[in-house]
Amino acid sequence: MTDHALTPRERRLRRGLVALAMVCAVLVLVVIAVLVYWRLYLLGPSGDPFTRGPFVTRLDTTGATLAWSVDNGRRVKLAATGPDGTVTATGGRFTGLQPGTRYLWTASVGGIGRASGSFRTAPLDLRDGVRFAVIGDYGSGNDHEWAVGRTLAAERPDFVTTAGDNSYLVGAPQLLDRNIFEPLHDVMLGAPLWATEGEHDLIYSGGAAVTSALHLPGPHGRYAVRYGPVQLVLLGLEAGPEEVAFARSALAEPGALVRFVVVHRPIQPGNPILPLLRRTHVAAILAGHLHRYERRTVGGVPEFTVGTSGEGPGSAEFTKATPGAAISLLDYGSLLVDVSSSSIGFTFVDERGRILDRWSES
Amino acid sequence: MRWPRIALAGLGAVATAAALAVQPPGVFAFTGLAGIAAFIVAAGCLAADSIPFRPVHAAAAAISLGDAVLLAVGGRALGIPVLVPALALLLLQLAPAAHARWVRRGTRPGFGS
Repeated sequence: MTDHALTPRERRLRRGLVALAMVCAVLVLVVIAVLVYWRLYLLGPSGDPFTRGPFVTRLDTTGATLAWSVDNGRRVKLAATGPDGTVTATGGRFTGLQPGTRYLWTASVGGIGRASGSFRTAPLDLRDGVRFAVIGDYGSGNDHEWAVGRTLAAERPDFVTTAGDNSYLVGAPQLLDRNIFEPLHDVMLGAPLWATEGEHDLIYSGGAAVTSALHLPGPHGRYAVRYGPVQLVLLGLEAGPEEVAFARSALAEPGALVRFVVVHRPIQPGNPILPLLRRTHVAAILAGHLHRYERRTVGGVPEFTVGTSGEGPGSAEFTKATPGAAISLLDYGSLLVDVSSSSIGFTFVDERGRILDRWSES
Repeated sequence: MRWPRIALAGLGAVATAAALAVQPPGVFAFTGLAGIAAFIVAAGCLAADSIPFRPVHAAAAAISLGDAVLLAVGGRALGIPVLVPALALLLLQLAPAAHARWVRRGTRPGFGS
């Protein structure tokens, strides 16, 4: 059968069929092109395999430890790069690092770098200084906490200490990502969060969930840590008789050049711990509980209340300024502490990045 | 020979010439465009060979359709030497005519006796 054998109607049908086939082919190509473009240029990267972290939990002069949670228990490889080359971590722990040195770390899953950050190992002395941040009563997961978290990340502290109430209303495991790990994600990439615990943490299983999630060195927010020449003695809820005994033991440890005491409830005049703090030259008490920022001197020891890092001030009736405070503010913010060999500077920075209070001691 | 097949042969010839004359990755621009055009024309060619249905021609057009895909993306994505699908596209258009000639020779009186 040849073309000549076709009727005019069959010829028209064939021409139509050819045109339709070519249009269909064009459409197929268009669809493929759209799919390819979407796949290559519009589709975002595959999701974050980490369900928490990675975040720094320990920093000392020659080592650092990171912790994380990852989907399906996938294998995570950690590498840290510093001036002396690249080291890999074993079980989340870097060893053999140089003191006082900044390292860039990367966590890879499936051969792809999925998270990065940097930390500075603790220095041996105070020649290059130590900077840390203090927050308290922050764990509400609201806009204010996120704002404070952003300013903290920008300030790049060596570590962060908290004066408790890390999670509202309670320190339950299900709330900790919303209240701690997400708002503070960026700063925790490079700074360990050494937290004491307040009523809202302790009301749920005695604070065990917060202790476990943050890999804290001791229960109930009571432990001591060192960052090179700086020692933090964290007492927990308040400075009662047990805490005084703990502080006596911790403050007797040799080696630290500057010591701070962190406690949830501010220490009041007449507390039996005050003579010990004076005798051991504690640089300052760092507290929370009262949803204000306050600076005052208690029994000859400077005391800072940092209770506005996220949770609101609440009723004015229960958030009254402490009589005798040198400054008392309701603004959300965090306290930055710069420790050098000659002085200690305290700077209160609000959630908008403004300095609202500055004080220093020699 | 109908115009879609002539067009396909032309595309095959251009792609073959490009494969011989231009080194990768520059050649992929030629073979990619030739493959896309060949895909569209081969679809029309397949339709044309359906009315009236001519099995050898239709088969050549269908294979050309797949070959056009290889020509468009095979070199870059699969690492196939682009000369192979380019030359195949050209030869596939000559195959129906060769087949017809072979059949005519086979039916000539006395052939093969």
